Amino acid sequence: MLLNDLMPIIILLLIIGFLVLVVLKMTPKTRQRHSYSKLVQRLFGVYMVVLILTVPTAFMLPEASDLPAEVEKVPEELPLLWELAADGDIETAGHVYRQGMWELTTEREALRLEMVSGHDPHAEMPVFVERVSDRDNTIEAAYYQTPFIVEGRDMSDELNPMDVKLSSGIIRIDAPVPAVIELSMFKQEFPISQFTGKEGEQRMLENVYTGGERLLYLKIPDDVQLDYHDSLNLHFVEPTNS
Amino acid sequence: MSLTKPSMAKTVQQQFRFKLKGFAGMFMTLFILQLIGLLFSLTGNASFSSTNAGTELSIQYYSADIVVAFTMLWGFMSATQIKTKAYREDDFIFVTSRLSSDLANIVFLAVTSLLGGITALLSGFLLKVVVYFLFDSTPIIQSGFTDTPGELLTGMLAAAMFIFMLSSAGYLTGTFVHLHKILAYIIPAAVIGLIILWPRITGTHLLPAAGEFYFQERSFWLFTCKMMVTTGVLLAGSIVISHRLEVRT
Repeated sequence: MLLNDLMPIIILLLIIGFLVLVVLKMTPKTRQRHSYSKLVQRLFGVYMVVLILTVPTAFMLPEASDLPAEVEKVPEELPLLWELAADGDIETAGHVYRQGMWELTTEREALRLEMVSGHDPHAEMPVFVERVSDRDNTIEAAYYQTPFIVEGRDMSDELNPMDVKLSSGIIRIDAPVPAVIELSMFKQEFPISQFTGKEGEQRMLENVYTGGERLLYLKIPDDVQLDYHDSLNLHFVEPTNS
Repeated sequence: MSLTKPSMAKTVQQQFRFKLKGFAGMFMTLFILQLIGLLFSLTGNASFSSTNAGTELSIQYYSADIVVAFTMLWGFMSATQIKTKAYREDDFIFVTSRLSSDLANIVFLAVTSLLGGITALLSGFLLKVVVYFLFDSTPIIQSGFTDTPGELLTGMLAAAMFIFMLSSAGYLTGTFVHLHKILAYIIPAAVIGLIILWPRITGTHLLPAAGEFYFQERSFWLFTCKMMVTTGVLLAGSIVISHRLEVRT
């Protein structure tokens, strides 16, 4: 445990030791001959030319074509779908985040709720159930998801869809397969970002993405008995007095 | 014996020019260290991964931060080297005093720091071009480096000031070691001891506090003031100690 904690420091010290050794070994202990100075001048000159040429080249690099365009204004704070659903307000306050809707009919008096998320335990999705009295034999399922904005780009389309089916008295929720998103990003060096207001490393890692919260909201007639496994992330919406 | 007494400015200028050519090895070391820094940076200098929200998100970040850090280390080490006997001997080719020698060294360190800052920042562009064409197969978000010329210039000056500050610290260390060789062992031990003991005495950690003081400063002008004062104190200390060394050693 202690060794694991110290490992980054040991590696850092080894790297610094290596660099110190390089500097000490590479720096001649006596004044260099004229020919050596000329050689270094030429070498350094070539290095400078290469560095200067890469500046316009870097700015001309085309951006990957499969990347979504930048969001003009990243919302500072997205609503918490969880809270909206728990308060029964999601249909009104969160309707803009509805991504899919299903209407399922059944004559059965009892239904079982199952979620298929066999790919990854993280795929588990919260399900909110509202009991309704005015929907005879009809179950309404709505899938909500806030925009998934990564480094200022809306990656919502990269997320996999979900599905809800009803057969043989089982409401089957096919949770989305986790989307694998791999990206690279060029960042400003710290002597620049320190003054441009673009985030330092810590803030940078805190603001990588926003949104991507999702949940399923079910409206089930109150006369239908609902059976489900305890492991399901299921919540019943308390009826509001209004 | 010369009957004409050269001015201080003239002597410093002559010595500086001489050092620029004579200390060519330092530029070679800078070049090699920056290349090593670039190699380290090719795998990315930061990464982010998350499995929240039904996604497996991983992002690799590229910048030349490592090159800048290596250049700062180079500045420190090079400055300590300048005060070694072999380099000091060269000063006596000229009619010189300790002050003119120190001033020439300081000008030399300032110029090399500027050069180090410029090349370190420019190497970021080289890194990005190399990563784009040779190494990375994932989509690259490039919006992170939309530097305006002004931002780039500010960054270069800031990097140069960081390097110059470290060089000044190295120069002071070299001067101490010139005073007595045993200080080469005492100074690192004292610095490490201070870093360890400081939180017990004051309740604050020295390195994070110093890091916040210099690296979190958002105003360029305040940053410049902090750097000038720190560097000035370090260099003045070196000059004062040098003056105590009356005899050529």
